[in-house]
Amino acid sequence: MMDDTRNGPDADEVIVREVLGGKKDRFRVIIDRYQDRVYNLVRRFVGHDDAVDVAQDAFLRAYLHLDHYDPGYPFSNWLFKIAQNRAFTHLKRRAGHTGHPSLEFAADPDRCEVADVRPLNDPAAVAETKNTGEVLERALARVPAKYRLLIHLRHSMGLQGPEIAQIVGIPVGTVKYRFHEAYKVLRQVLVELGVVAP
Amino acid sequence: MKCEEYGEALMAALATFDEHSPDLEAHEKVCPGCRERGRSMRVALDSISKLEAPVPARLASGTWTAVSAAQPTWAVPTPPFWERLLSGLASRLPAPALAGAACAILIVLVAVSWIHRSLREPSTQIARVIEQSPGLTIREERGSTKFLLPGRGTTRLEHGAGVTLAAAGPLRLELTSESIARLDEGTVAFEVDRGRRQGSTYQVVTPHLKARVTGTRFTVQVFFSQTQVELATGTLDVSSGGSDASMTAGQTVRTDGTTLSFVTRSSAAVATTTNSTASPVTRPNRPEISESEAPSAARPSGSVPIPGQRVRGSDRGEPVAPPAPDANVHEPYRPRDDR
Repeated sequence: MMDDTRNGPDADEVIVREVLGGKKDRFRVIIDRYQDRVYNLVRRFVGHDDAVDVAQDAFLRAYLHLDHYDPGYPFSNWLFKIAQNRAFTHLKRRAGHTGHPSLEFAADPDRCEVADVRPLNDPAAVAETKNTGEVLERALARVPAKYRLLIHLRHSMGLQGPEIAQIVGIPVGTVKYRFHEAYKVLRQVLVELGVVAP
Repeated sequence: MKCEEYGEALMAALATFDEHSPDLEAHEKVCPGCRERGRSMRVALDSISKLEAPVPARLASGTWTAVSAAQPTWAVPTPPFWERLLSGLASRLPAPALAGAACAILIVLVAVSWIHRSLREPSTQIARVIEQSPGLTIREERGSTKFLLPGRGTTRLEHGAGVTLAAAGPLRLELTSESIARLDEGTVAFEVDRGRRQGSTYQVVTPHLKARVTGTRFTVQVFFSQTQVELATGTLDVSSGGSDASMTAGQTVRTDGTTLSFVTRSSAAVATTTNSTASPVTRPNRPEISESEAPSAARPSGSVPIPGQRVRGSDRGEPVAPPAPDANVHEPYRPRDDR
């Protein structure tokens, strides 16, 4: 999947070295390569409206601190961790500034934040739900951020336990434990939505 | 496994990245309800990977704009243009081609330098040799011209516009700009044109004395320990050792760098009053300032006579004797204010 990013002249680490050596233009390859994954990662937390800004901020932070990157680890994991941190920081800032009732708990990654606060069994909300994708989006929005991050990293980005542990910054054992909790919460939401059998 | 335990076991299996647990599969085979629960959960999780949203086009462009404008602390300063050019050439051209290009550039530079030097005005802007003595060496340096004459001999020069010099060796003379002559050794007769005198001053500097020209003709002799100035016509301001004096026509001053003394010219030797150390000066080869009373302005520029030559217009037919600097009788120097 990411072989071209690990080996060869266009490997991430090679590009990073070139950028640090003064070839600023090479960072464009990094942007093109990871913009979709970074965008969807931050979108999962901040929504469509702010996702572009947060993703840009993540790339800019990565560029400004490129000398802090440790080539011993995959560049993608380092970049995703930056994106995750920027997304959480954005959530905290947005909750603090707006005081929106639906977002007031967004600063806590243990809590969930959703724009649609209607009950899951609200007929209107159910009527607006056109397909499974939208149902899943609504379900994920109701999962606390720290669990949502794990689910996204695994099921959207296809990462495995050790990589997820590196991005989230916790041991692999803790990752498994949190996944257990995350699936329980997600299943409960999906059951309420009628997506899965109770 | 009981159905009550199935949900927890499914979550645990998913969390351990081991979705194919034998216990689960065995229970699902015998329990259609739990099989449906597991299938629907797995389908839902698989569907999450299809929730990717298309990336707005402005993300890449906006990100690149922000990155381009950013100045990270680790940024390497942009090397100068020529360095980037050379490094680019070095990475693209083979070594022989690069060496050939370097040689070509070197040859072009040398040719341009040679053409530039050949087209440049010679040092005659500062000084021009009117009559050259054998053995006279001319060294052109930045902003000055040096005239070196190790042995006897005479030469005549034009310094700038309106100053004519008749010099006798051994000579060490340096002409800088168009108004300063530094005489370290030798005897030089100066004739400063009146027209020039109105515009700017002319200075003669020796190790012992500085003469500021307000007159027209004078002779400067530099010896090892002293300098003697004889003024033929006009006036001349001299300074030495912190003392200043204005000379009038016919006066002679002598200084060793500390004491400025007027020398009284007389046919007989007179007593030295201030500088007993000043010994009689022998001048084996001294250029001539025309002793004719004709004003310098009446004589064309560059006509300062030199030793061994007949003075133009002179009816004596012999080299004109210069003022006698070897008189060893001095008048005490009187400051200008006392006069």
